[in-house]
Amino acid sequence: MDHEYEGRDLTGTVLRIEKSSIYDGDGLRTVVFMKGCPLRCKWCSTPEGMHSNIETTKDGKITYGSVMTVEEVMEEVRKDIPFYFHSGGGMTVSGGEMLFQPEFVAALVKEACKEGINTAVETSFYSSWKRIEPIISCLNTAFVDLKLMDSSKHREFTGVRNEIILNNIKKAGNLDLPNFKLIIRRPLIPGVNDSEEDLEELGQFLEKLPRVHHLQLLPYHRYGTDTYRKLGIDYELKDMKTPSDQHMQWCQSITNKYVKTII
Amino acid sequence: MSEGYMNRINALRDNYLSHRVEMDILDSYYVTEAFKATEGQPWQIQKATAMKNVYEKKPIYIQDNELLVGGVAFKPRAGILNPDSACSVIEKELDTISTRKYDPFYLSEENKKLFMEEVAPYWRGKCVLDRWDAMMPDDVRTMRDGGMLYVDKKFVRGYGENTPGWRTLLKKGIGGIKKEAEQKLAELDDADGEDVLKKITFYKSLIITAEGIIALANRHADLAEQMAQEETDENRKAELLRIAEINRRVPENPPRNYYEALQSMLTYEYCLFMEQNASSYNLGRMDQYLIDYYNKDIEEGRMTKDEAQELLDCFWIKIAEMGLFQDGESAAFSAGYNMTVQVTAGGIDKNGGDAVNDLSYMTIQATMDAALKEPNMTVRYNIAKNPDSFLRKAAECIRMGRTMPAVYDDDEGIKMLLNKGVPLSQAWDWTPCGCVETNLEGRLKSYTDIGEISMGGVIDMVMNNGRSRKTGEVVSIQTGDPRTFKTFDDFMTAVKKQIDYFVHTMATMNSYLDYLSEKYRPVAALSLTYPNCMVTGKDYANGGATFNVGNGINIIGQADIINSVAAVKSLVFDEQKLTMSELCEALDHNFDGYDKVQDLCMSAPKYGNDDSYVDTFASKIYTYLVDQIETYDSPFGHLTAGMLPVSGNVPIGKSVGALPSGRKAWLPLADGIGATGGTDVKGATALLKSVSNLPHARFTQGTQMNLKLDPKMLEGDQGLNNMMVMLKTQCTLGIYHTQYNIVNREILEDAQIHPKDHRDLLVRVAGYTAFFVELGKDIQDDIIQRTEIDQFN
Repeated sequence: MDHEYEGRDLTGTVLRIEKSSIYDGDGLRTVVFMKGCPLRCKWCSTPEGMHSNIETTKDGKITYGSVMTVEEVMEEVRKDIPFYFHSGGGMTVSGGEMLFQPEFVAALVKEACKEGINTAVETSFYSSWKRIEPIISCLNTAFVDLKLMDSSKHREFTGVRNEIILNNIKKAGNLDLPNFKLIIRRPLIPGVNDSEEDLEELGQFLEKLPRVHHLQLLPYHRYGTDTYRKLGIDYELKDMKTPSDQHMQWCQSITNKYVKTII
Repeated sequence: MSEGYMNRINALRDNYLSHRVEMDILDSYYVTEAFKATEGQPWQIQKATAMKNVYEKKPIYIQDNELLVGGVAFKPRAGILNPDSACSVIEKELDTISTRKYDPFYLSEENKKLFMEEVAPYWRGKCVLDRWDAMMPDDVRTMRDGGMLYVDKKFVRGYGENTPGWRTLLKKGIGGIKKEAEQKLAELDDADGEDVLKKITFYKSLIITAEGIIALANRHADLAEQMAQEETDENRKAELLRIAEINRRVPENPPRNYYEALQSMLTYEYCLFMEQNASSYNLGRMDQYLIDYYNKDIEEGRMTKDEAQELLDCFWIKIAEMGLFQDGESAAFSAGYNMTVQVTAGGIDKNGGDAVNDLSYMTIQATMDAALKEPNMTVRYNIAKNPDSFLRKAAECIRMGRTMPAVYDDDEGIKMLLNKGVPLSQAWDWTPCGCVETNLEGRLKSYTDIGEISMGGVIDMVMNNGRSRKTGEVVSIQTGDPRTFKTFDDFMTAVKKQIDYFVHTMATMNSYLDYLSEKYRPVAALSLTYPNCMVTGKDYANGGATFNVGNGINIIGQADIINSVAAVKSLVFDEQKLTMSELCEALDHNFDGYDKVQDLCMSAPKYGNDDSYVDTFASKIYTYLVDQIETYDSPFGHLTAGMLPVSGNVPIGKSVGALPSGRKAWLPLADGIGATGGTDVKGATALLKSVSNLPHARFTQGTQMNLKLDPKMLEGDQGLNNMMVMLKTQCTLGIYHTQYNIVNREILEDAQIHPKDHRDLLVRVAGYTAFFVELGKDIQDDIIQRTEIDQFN
C-alpha cells in the first residue's frame, strides 16, 4: 500500500537504523540515529554522529550516514511492527541530536504515531521550543539528557551553555499531554557531574516539574573509544573509569529524595 | 519444590555419562536365530517370532538407583542392528565402526566373530538394504552417487517417526490388546480366501509379539526379585520389590497409578525400538496421557510432587539410554546418536481449551534436572490459550543452556495436520515428531523423512548444465548452458526443471521404499496400539492406521538456493554488474583468482535480513517445490515435504560446487531454514522476518529454525521477557518452530580443545540436541561458525 502523508519525501541524513534494541525505551525498539549534533560532550560514545555530513573512516572501510526520505525510514520501521506488538516497543529517534533535523524528525514521528507505532526520542533539548513542540505533540516518550546544572561547566564539557536546555525541560515538565512521558537522563561522568552537590541540585530542579516521570542515571562507559580511533579523533577522557555499582547506588539514594530514580 | 530427589538423579546421570557407546550384536543374533527356525512361514510371522525371541532372550539388567527399568541392548547406550533391514551395513563397516568419524560404536572382536559367522551369512542379499541395492534404478543411483540426493537411510532403518498409541496402551494394556486379537482371530476362517488369511496372519503376529513383550517385563520382575533377595540395604530392597511388582503388572495390564504408567510406557518404547532400530518413537503429549494418574495419586496421598518429579526424571534418563545405530553415512546426516524421541507439553485440549497442567511444567523441569540430550523436549505453544507462566518456564529452561525445549507455534502445527488430511477435531491433538515433523498419537502412518534433496545441488546443476563439479559426469538433466539464458525467466525455467527432476527422482525412490516396506517391514509391536489396525486386520506397514500420509521428502540448503537466485537476478539481470559468462567462469574456478566476482556475489542481497528483494524467493521457490512434491501419489497419499536438515547440510555440501551466492565449493550448505552463517547482519528479528516468508504450513513435515543466542542477552527478568517476546512474535509471524543454542563461542572452542571437560555440553545440532564433544570436528566448526546473535543486534 502507498503511504501518502505530509513530509513523506523530506530527506534527512541518517547515521544508521538499529533493530530490536532493548536499551532505548520500552520493549524492543527500532532506533533511528540521526546525524549531526550541536554539542561536543567529551564523553560522547557516538562520535560518528556529531557531524551532519556523511563521513568515512580513515581506512575507507566504513561510511557513516546516508541520505534517506522519511518514507524510506518508515519502511524500515514498519518491518519491525510484529516485534513491537508483544514487547510494547516502537520507534526511537536518537542521534547525534535529532533536533538538528527537526522537520524531518517531526514528519517521521507524526507518521509513526499515525500508524499506531509507539514513539520515543533521545535528545539534549538544545534547540528552540518551536522546533520541539511539533515533535512532542505526537510523542510517547522523551528521554532528555541533563548533563550539568551549572551553565559554564556545561559549556566546558559539552561546548554549549545550558539555559535553553533547562528552559525547555521546564516547559516540557509542565505540559499537560496525557500520553506523554518525560524521562530525564543523567550520564554520570566521574568527577564531572556526580558529586553530592551536583545530584542535590539536579534533584531539586526536577522535583518541581510534575510531568517528569523519572530520572535515569547512566554510568559512563567507554564503548565509543574504538570509533574515535577509526575516525582519527582524539579522545580526551582516556583515563576515565566506569563508576562502580556502589557509587551508582549512592547517587541514586541522593536524587531519590526528590524524584523517582532508576539506574 | 525441594530437590532432595536430585541425589538419585545425579547418580543416575553420572552413571549414564560413564558408559561408552557400544554395539550390541546379540539382538541381531536372536532375530536371525528365529528367522532360521521359522523358515517358510509368512514374513510377518517370522518377524514376530524373531521379536519374541529377542524379548525372551536378550540380556537384561537393573542398575543401582534405578526406579524404572529396562533397556534395548545388553547395556545402556548400546546400539542394536535390525539384520532384516540392514545387515550388510555392519559387514561393510566392520573394521571402521569402532573408530569412524560420526557416531562410532565400539564392537568387540568376539562380537565381530559372532556377527560374521551367525548373522551376516543368512541376510546377504536378503535384508531390505541389499534388496534396494539390487533393485535401485539407474537414474536414482546416478543422482545419489553424484551427491545430489540422499536416498538410502530408510532402507537402513525402518519405521519410527510416529507417535505410538500411548492412550491405547495405558487403557487396555498389552494383555487386553492381545485378547482383542485373539477374539478377532477366533471369528475368522481361513477358508474365506486370501484376504482373510492375511488378516489371520496379522492377528497371529500381534499375539506372538504381545507374548514376547509381556515375557520381557516378567523377566525384569524376576530379576528385581532375585536382586532384592541379595540386597542388604533395606531401602533398596523395598525399591526392588516394588520394581518387581510393577513389572509383573505392566505393560500387560492397565496401570493403576502414575509409577506403573511410566514403566508401562518405557517398556513398550524399548520394545518398539528393538523391533525396527528406528528413530523417533515419540512420547507425544505425556502431560495429557499421565495427568489423571498423577492427579489421583496426589489427591489420594499416595505420592508427593517430588516423587512424581523424581520418577519423571528417571524416565528421562532411561530414554536417553537408547542409542541409535545407523550406517556411517546416515550418521553424518544426523550425528549425535540421536533417537529424536520427542515429548511435548502444552497446546490445547479436545475442547479447544488450554491443555497446560502440572505435568506440562514438570516435563520441562525433568529436562532441567536430567540435562541430557534426550528426550527431545518441546512445547506446543498456543499463544491464545496457554498461560505466560508456561512460556516463562520454557524460557527459563532454554536460558539454562539446556537447548530445549524447542518451541512450536501450535497453530502452524495444527494447520500442518489439517493439510495432511486430518480433521480439526483430531488435529488439535497433534504431536511433534522426531526433529520437527508432525504426527498424531496412535492414528497416523508415514515415513516423515525418506531422504534429502540438495537445493544447493539444484543450483549447481543449473549453473553446470547437469554435470557434477566433482566428477564432471552428467548426473542430472541438462537444462542448457546458462550463458545462453537471455532473461531471468530463462534462468528460473532451468531452476524449475532441475527441481522437477530432483523431485521426480526422489518419488521414484519412494515407490521402491513403499514396495519393500510393505513386503519386508511388518511392525506388529507398533500395530498393537493402533486401534484401526485391530479393526481392519492390517499391519501399520500396510496402511492399517486411521490416517495414512504420503512419505516426507527433506529439503536441505534453503538459503543457498534463495541467495543464489537473488544474486543472479541482481548481478546478471537487474544491475548487470556481471555477465553470465563471467559468473560461470568464476564458479568453474571455485572463485580462485576471481575474488572480485566473489565479493560481488557476497554483496548481493542475502536472505535473513528482512529484505523483500531476496525473501520473495523464499516464498516463490518453496511454494513451487511443494506444489511439485504434492503431484506425486503413493498408496498412502501424495508425497509431503519438510525442511529438517539435521546435520545433513554438512555432508551434502561436499558434492556441491561453488554457487552464485558466493559460497565456495564443498562447504556446508545453510543450516535449517536459517540464513547462511555470517550473512544475516540485522539481528534475530530481521532473521525471523525473513524466515516467515517460507510457506511453513505447506511443509507438513515441519520447518526447522535454529537460533543461537549469547547468554548475556537473557540476563535477569527482563532477559526472560525478551525471550518470551521472541517466542510470541514467532507465533505471530507463523513460524512453525524455533530452537535456541544459548552457548557462547568461547565455551564451544574450549570444548574442541578439552573435550573431556565438556562431556555434558549440549548443543542443538538441528531438530535435536547432542553432546557437542561427540560430534565430528566439521559439524562442531559449523555450529561455532553460525552467526552468534548478541543482544538481538
